[in-house]
Amino acid sequence: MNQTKTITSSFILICLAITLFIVGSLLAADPLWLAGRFGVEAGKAYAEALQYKHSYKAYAKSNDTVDAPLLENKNVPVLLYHSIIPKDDGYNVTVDVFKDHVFSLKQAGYETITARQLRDFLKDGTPLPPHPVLITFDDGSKTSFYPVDPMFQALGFKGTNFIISKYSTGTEGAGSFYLSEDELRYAKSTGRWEILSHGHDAHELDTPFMGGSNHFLSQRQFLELEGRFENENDFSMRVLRDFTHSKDALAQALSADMFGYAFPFGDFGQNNSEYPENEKLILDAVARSYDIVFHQARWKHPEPFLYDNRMYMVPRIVVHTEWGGDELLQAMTNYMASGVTSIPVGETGEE
Amino acid sequence: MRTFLSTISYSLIDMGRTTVFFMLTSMVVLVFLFIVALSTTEGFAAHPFLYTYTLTVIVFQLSRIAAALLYKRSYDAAVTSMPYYGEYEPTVSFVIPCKNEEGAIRNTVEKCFAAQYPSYKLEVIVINDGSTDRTIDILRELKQERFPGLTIVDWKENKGKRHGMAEGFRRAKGDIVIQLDSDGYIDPKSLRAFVQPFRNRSIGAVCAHTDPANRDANWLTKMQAAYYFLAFRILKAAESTFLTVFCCCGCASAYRKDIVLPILDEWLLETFLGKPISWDDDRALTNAILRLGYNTIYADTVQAFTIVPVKIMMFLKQQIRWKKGWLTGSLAASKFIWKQRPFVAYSYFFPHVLFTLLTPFVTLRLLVLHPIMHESTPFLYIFGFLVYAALVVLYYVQVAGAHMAFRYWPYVFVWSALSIILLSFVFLYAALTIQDRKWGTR
Repeated sequence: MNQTKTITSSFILICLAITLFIVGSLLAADPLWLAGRFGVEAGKAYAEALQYKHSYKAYAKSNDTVDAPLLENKNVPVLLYHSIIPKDDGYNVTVDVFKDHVFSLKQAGYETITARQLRDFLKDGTPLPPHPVLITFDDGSKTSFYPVDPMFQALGFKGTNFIISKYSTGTEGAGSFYLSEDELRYAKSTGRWEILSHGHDAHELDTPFMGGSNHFLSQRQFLELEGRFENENDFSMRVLRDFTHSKDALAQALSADMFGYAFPFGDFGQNNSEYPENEKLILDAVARSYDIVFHQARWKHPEPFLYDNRMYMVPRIVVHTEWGGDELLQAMTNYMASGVTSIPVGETGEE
Repeated sequence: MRTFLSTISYSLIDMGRTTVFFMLTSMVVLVFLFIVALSTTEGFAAHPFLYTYTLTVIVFQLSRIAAALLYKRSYDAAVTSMPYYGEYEPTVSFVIPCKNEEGAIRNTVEKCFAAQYPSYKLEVIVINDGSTDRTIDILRELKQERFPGLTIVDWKENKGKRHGMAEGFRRAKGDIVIQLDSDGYIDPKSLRAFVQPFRNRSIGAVCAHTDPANRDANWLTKMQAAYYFLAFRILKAAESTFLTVFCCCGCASAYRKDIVLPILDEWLLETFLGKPISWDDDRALTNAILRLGYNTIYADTVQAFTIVPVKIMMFLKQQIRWKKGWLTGSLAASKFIWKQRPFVAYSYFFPHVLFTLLTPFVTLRLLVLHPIMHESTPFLYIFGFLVYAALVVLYYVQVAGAHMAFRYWPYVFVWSALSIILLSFVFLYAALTIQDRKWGTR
């Protein structure tokens, strides 16, 4: 009967439609979900950016311009921030203070660059804008991104975030403090963020050490199974493994070239009186994986220099929460003039 | 080819606004379900079996709704569009086997005689199957004082429901035999609609729509009210779309007497693993009718009522009985259904059997083993399950409309949860105790 055929065909068609729909949804689930979630995020950031634009206009009108000095040497100021938090905790910079900083930078005529641009400048002399500044964030916490991105969007700034691959990628990643892989991808996609490495286990504090500073990178571990401390070889291998692990994990997650690194705690063995040779071992190991590394030991290396003819070591200015826009500009000016005399009181080389 | 496609598109287009609305809403719900729930799972490579199982189960369940969507159309094609000159009024015999039903039998008999149908075409046969209470007295009183036409078959010893029904068939004078449960009855206005499908000569049995009469007793009966509506108007309707209702429910079903008489003996002597079967007479009879090559249909306008268990133990016993019946009946049906109706067999019957057998194990794994081993709550499974139940509720609500069962729609969730947690294991229990042939009392 014709009706029966129609009924059967309609039924088959509907079932096919259901199957295709379900399979299609499954295949598209992840990208759609991410697109949806970060679509919302992008919308929020845009709205906030508009507010900041407005606020900057008011700021520029009411403040006197302080012109940035021209860069005459290789001392491109590199700023170090961690988390940008709503309320002061005595250590991290607050959102309002950070806003003051970036507004001052903008008004003074500074233009942000990326670490890649810095590397190319140091290596090949590729020209930079007349008033360059590299703004960096360590640890890759969510607070280093979400409050900051709208401001960067408003001012046309870029930032570099050094990510701890242990907390941000793979199965241990995506907690509520550190940025997850998806968030990093989103950050990259905005075009305003550069993602580089901050180590894997290298940021851990509770590793088996006895005495001295217990930083993963700079101290020799006690090998329980063998009942002795690490020797030079063990130590080299361990730190090299950490560097390459972090580099590979991030490169894979973000399909990007991880050419830069920042030492956790700014420690590359420069303070270890027990094993002074650690510093060379670490720097040798890191030079095998990265082109440019950042540190805060300005008492030792006040200016960027080329280590072992293959890796650039660049010092960073640790930004303090008590600094207003003026103090920040002053510190940068001092650094650009000559590295050594620009160290403010209290900064010893630890981060 | 073009006419084929245009016929399909027309039939889909003129499905009606509410149906289209329902389909759109369900698409949205599905999108929500899959994007949120499944975007965080590991996907096919990690758990191929579970993934495939979930996918196919959901497509299968949704195919039931798809088939139910086409029910009305199928019914019209099979019945309403059948040309018939004049009024179709065959002679009808009510057959009511009963045992110890002194409370309910009076109402049942009264409702039968109150049917809006020519009384000379109506016959009521009650088989008193070894009652030990006042059933027989009530029956005699009814016959003497009100219904002289009532035929009473009085058995001092209990022979079983199947024998009662068979006796009723043998004594019936009508062309159509309507079998009722002794505590059930049909709405007197529905009798005419009940017999209409028999206008189609290929139809051998008709299943009525049954709702619990004691719906509002407690939460258990309310849940059963929701379940009955769902089971009839959605699941049986889905089967009826292809004129293959596998179980014309014993609470109220009509049969073409002439085709049943020859198979009565075979049906009476049916055994399973060497012992006679004391349950599931309705499914076995429907199987026999299907095997003969006749169609079975569900008539949703025919309203019947039954009494459902009020206590949980009774409810579980009934479920065990039904699951045993389903097992033996499905086994018997599988022998001929693949030859006779391959499309129904492969698109519905065998997948249905497979999933019913698999579900207890998958549920055990996802709700018990996995959480214990991984110390995680199976949120995704429960959430996905709830969203699927919401989809069913959407259709339930659309199709219930002004029906009395409409207001029990929240209990669909209760039923779904109970079904997946408890009843899939009841099924296992039923399978394991299949050799226990006692009749679990109502």
